[in-house]
Amino acid sequence: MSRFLLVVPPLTGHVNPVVGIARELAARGHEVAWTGTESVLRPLLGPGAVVLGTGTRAFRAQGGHGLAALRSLWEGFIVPYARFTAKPLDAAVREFRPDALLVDQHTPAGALVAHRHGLPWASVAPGAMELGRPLWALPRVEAWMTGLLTGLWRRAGLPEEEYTDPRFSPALVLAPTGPALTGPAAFPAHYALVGPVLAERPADPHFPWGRLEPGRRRVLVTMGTLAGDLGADFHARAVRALELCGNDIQPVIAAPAALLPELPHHAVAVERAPVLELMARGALDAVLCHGGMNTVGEALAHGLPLVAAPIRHDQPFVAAQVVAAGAGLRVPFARVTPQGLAAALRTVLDAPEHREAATRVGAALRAGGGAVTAADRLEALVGAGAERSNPLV
Amino acid sequence: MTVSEPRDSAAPVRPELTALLVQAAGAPPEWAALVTPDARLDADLMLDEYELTALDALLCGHFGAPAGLAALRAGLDLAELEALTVADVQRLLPAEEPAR
Repeated sequence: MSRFLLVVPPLTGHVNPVVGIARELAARGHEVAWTGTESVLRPLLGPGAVVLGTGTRAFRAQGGHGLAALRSLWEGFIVPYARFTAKPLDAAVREFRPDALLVDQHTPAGALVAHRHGLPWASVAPGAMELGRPLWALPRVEAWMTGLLTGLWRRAGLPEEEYTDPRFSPALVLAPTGPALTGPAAFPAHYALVGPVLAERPADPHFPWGRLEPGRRRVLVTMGTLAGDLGADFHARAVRALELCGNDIQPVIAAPAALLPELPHHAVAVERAPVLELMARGALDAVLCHGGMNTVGEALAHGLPLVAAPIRHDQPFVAAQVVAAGAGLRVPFARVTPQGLAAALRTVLDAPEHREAATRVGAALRAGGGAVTAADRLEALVGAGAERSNPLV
Repeated sequence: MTVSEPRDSAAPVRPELTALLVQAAGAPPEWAALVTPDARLDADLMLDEYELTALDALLCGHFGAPAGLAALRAGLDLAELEALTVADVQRLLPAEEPAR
């Protein structure tokens, strides 16, 4: 049996897919430990998980739009978080003595410490942004990212001639998507597109299941982390759009109450919805979301068509993939009118081709094997590295 | 050209450029009021990479390949991209519309 160290950022959307992989590894008898911000990880992982804390520090909240959001992500989170966690991660490796590390692409310090100790490591892509080269048309932006990463490499004291992009393990890159979304572009053999990792989460006893009315079709609205006027404005348009869709549609909205206008009596609104449980119970007919990889993958895996209103990062690219696959429509987050959004929602609800495409794409994504394939590849990674000299193991 | 050149942001936005921006943005007609010379494509008009690609295709189709926005953006760094305005795009356009 092997020991796997999982390096993740303190962000729910990044942790959830890795939970599924961790469970699969543990079910096979491997030892699994997590590193990161324990105050965030513990509520997500439960009391039984082994968490080697890297300390707590406030980082810039992820927000904004477009290039400003990209700058904020890298300069406000990825780079300072990597600096902050470098030493605690090194200590975690020395304490846990893993056979391999699984490193989220947004926590490059994990790759740096793995390289320092000569340990095999796999990357896990949290979205489409770092899977290919979506910003290939902006070479100076790509160079800016590379500059930040080489700076971390130098700061870690690693030999410059050994530089490896810490987002891309040369041995294994796991991604929760599949060719049904990414298209015909070929990836290297060490890329494993495993499809969505659907980690079951505890049933939510507080969700008002009794308010889901028979005979209505339901649209889940889940826009991730939205705040302030931008969030309130979008939700106001979304609620109006759902009213325009007609009384046969029941909205299920996952958002803070402060972002919501007065709701029609039949709408269900909660701050956090049991998304997977709603999908698995067949309680939904379509999803309105931001185009985040997790939500899109989960919806498609359950055959649900989407309307995506992308806000930032990889979301415009994922939304474009959904449209290209025929499984949904894209609307401009900042500009779509209630009438335009209602038309898009009615289209995906009423036109069978979107549902059929969602079912087809979802089946193809599931065929990637999810956590099972990911665990297979991680075991092979350890097996391939078993003969290498590892001073820690 | 680069965005570091002096700007003539006083020139009004040509109606055909405004129309193409509205089209690329998938915006309602009234959104055109936001399309001013000083409006930044990123922070003010909130155009994402997908929409900017669509705008580039529309510009090339309407004005010809030399109007390519993609070529301009490919030479800019992050700060310059953040600062890119409608006036910068307008300076890419030929003075007169091609005869049709």
